[in-house]
Amino acid sequence: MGYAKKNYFSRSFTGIVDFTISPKKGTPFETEFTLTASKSRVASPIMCEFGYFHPRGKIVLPSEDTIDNLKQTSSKVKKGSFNKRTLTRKVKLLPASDLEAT
Amino acid sequence: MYVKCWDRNGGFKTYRDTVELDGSNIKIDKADVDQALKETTLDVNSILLLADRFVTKHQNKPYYFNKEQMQRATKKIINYIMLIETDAMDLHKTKQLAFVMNILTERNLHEKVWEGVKDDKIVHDMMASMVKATSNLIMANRKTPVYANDTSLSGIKNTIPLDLNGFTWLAKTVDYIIE
Repeated sequence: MGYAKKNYFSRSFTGIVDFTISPKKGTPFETEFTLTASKSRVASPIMCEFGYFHPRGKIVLPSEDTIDNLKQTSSKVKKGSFNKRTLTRKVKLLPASDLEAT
Repeated sequence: MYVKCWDRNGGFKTYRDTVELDGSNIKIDKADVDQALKETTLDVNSILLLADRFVTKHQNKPYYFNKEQMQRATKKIINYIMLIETDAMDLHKTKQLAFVMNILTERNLHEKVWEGVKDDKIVHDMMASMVKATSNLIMANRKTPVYANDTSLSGIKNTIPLDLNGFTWLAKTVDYIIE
């Protein structure tokens, strides 16, 4: 007797994205962190999105790939494209405060 | 922090790394808030960076208060939320902004931020904008994001645009507005 198994959302592309952050330490609101995603080692064009986790939930950062702006899914707005370009994004971060006000 | 990447077929990988944040040096004062108000980038993170100065108690101190700056920040944040098209909403944006609306409306109304403004129209317009912005966030819940391979939702076809916390925060916002 055997069994069949299906893994949902387990597909992935071939290759590796090199993800780096600099600096590694900083002050909320002030320090500008630079995020870099190099796609030179992936086989086919991809899109990437940066983000970070906060106690109140995930915060998605717009990138050149996703052009995640106010009207992201509007048909009037230019959409991003799949590519193999290196992606860089500078960002300041929120402090990791508690969910005290809920 | 993370980077999530996907290809045309929706196959994705997520890479994570951590940074260390030292919150002991956070200084929220007039100059700092003025600088934040000057920022012109309109993405969720930038708006949250401005809003957090007003909606979070930092280092166990009371909320930062400056009437004039709070009026300007409220206008800017509310205008931003009104601009967002409901089909551009997703769980992450809605939830973050619902929290901001919750605290912001509470503070605006209970701390009498608009008291003393001579022109009634300004206050009336502000209230109308608060209602409109809240409606925009509530309406987002009526949308089911469509399948699209140009957002990170591509692997998750039916993302729920609001969770229980988000609902609670929006419900509180409505309470403050109708109070």
